[in-house]
Amino acid sequence: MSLTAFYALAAFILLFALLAVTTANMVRAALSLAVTFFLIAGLYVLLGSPALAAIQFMVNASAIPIMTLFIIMMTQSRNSPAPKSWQIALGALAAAAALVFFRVAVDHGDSSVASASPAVLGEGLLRAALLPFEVASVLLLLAMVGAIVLARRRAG
Amino acid sequence: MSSTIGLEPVLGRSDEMIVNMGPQHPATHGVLRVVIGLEGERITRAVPHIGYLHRNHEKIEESRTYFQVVPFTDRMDYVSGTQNELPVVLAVEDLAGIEVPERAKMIRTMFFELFRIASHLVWMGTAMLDLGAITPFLYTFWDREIILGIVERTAGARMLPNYYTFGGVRRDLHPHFFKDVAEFLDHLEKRMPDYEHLVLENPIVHARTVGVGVLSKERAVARGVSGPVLRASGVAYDVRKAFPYDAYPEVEFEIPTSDAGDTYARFWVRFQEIYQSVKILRQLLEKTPKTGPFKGRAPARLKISGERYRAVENSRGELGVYVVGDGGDKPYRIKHRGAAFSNLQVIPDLFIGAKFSDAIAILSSLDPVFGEIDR
Amino acid sequence: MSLIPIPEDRRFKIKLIGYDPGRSRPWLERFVYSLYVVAFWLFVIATYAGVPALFDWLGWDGGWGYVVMRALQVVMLFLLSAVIALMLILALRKYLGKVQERYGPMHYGPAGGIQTVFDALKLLGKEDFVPAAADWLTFRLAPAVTFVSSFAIFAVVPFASGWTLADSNVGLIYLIAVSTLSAYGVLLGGASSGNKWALIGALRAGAQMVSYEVPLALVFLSVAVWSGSMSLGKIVDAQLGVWNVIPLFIPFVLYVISSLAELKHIPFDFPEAESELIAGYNVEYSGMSFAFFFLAEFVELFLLPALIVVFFFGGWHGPLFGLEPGTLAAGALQSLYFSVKTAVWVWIFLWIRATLPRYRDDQLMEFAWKAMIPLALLGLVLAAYMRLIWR
Repeated sequence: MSLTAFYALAAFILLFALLAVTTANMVRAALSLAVTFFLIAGLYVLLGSPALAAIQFMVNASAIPIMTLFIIMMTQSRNSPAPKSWQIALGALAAAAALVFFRVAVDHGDSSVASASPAVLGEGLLRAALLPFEVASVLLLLAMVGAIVLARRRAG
Repeated sequence: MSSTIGLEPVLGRSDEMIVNMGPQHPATHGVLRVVIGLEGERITRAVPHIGYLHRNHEKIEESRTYFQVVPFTDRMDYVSGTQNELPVVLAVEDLAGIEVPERAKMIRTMFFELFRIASHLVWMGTAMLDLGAITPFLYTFWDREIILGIVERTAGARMLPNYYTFGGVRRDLHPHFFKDVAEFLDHLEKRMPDYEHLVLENPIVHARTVGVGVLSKERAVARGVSGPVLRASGVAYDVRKAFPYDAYPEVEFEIPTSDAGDTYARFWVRFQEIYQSVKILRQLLEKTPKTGPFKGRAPARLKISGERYRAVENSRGELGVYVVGDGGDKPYRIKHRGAAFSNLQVIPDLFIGAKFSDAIAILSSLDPVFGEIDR
Repeated sequence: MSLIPIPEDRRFKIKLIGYDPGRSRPWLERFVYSLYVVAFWLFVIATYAGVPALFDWLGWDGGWGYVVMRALQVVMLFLLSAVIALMLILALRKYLGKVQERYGPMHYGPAGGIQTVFDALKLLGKEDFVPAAADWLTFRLAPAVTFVSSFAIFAVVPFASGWTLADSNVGLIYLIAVSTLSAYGVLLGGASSGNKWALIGALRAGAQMVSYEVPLALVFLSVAVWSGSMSLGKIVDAQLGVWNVIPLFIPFVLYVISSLAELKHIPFDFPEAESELIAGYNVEYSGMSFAFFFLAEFVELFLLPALIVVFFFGGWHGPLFGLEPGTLAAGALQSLYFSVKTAVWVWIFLWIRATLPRYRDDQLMEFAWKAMIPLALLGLVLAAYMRLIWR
């Protein structure tokens, strides 16, 4: 049963990802991206870590799309122009290369999956990877402060 | 958003947004259209357009006899009822030399103050409605219902009673009048602390009105503002004290003034005026004789010649009338000086520099009634 | 009231023109509205105890049977949310009437009990059009996204011990995600309306909701730290001795304020204010699409107070009078306690709506960023400290 679920999810993920990159309307593209991430959260559930799925949902499928929408609305961007043929070719080439790369990596890497409960995630973040975690939060703070400073300079 | 009359000279600034406020908007102050220029949050220009309720009062009054003019003036500031009748009545009494008995003067003053309370109650309800509180509106209208019931018992109609006439009032007071008014004043004095708590001491109202829309004393005087708006900017001018009429010389009352000049000050001043009206009414209830003449002698056909300007202190400010008679029984010209009309002139002064969400609060504190403005 | 005089000296009788609302019969009103509460309670019992019992009796236990059972529960919860919306819209109008010294709806049904049905019919009867300048797909999707995000909160709310649709151990993260999603629905609605003013209104509403999510998330963190779990069922279980409102008082206050802001409820209803200058995000919506925005708001009006009860007031805890926990009777009693506590909080929210004016847009954002986030951080630190000491 989880196999049918996987195939269904994968099909929809591919569909919405394709829609996200091919739609000209920015808002629709952002929406498709959000749906793609939401379905990827479903994949995480299938892999046995609902914690990661919830985080994926919260960050990538709720918060980031809001940010994208804010950007689209505030810059009032028009529809994206139709891609030229060499751009399509380059994109397809890059996608194929990525597929090959991931296939090779999965074949040769460690493909065991540990289910990530919140406790496991917490231990990992706050014990094993504490320094990168703190550095990442400082980086985010810097980015936030920088964005505010830039915005104020533009406005005032 | 279509017509931008008044903004043509500076159109073309690309970062400015033109927003049209009105003539119909849910902030129920009547039909006002303000064309606002916005830069982001701040209002940079504001041009009010009036005239949406213009009903040709002054021209129509030229073909009505003086007796017919009096009920017609009721319709100007429809919230204040008989207050509109008084300037015309006083002017004609002066020109025709009609004597008004003391008791009639007191009755007129009592009704004048009752309608001031009614008008301020309407203002309070609608001002809170603009700020988002939906409940005080119904409480104040309930209190106003009591006033309208008292008026109806004596005068025959509620909102537009056509009660004053040349020489006094049309009918004698209802036998229950004194008891009703005393009961009403007791009821109101019990309610006013609740209203103060809900409106004046409300931190959200403070956040929305303190420091918002400051009108300086000089600007207020220069624009010809009168009434609570003027008194909230620090000028202690009240027609009842400056040019007393009717029974005002015989009652003691104060003129509430504030130095702040912001929207909160205008709220506060109107509250204090309700208290002062209650004080006046209580004094008059004692002083007015229960029986006696309510109308002086006035000719059945009134022929007036001469010119006269009389003003009274409306709920909104100085309501004046300039009567020109040519010897006939219809006026040659009547010009009304609307209190709220002059008060509206400060809209550009107050709006510019404020955030546009303050515009509603400022407008509600100016308390315009468009019957009086557009006539 | 004796103070309204009807003049006795009238020469003709007063004829009542128009509809006479009739006398107010308080007992009838109370009866009708208790019927609603009883219907709600029975629905809850049917959904959480009846459906699993039915599937047990039918013997459909397998993988697909589980899926179908959960699907049926979701359908029943959808019907439940319809009942809730029916009840709450009417309760709001009647309660506002009580506060404002008037009757409220009285015409349809006994004491106005069926009024909302006619409101829904009215909304259905309106033309549900898409403006020409709007992007029709997103325009139609936005109310659905908002409604689904409000409705999705049902999945984690524990009505009684064990009566949850999905008691996952990341329930709190799920709740944050779902609240953010409702902000997304609002933004989508405004962005796709093809109307400059709807766009601005949606930006405002979105900014407000997103700003108040930060203190919300910090409050959730405080609750998780104090209770030791992110699962709502376990959070309620942990409140057996003392309700969380006592140790976690600061987070409680902040959570109430954030809920009011998420609901776009007065005093934070600037995005929906009719008397403000610029139209809100739902200005181009009419008919059923608008009804979905409306429905989402009222379902959240029920669910956010329910969450307040879950996090701070002991959820479904209450004296069991000797009943065995885990049985149907115990479950019914616990869900009754839960419903009563939620009803109290819904009443408090409606009371706030009736009383207060609204804050200005920039004031409420300032309040969120400058006042609530520091306090929320303080609450989090205190919660962690207390947990260290007392547990």
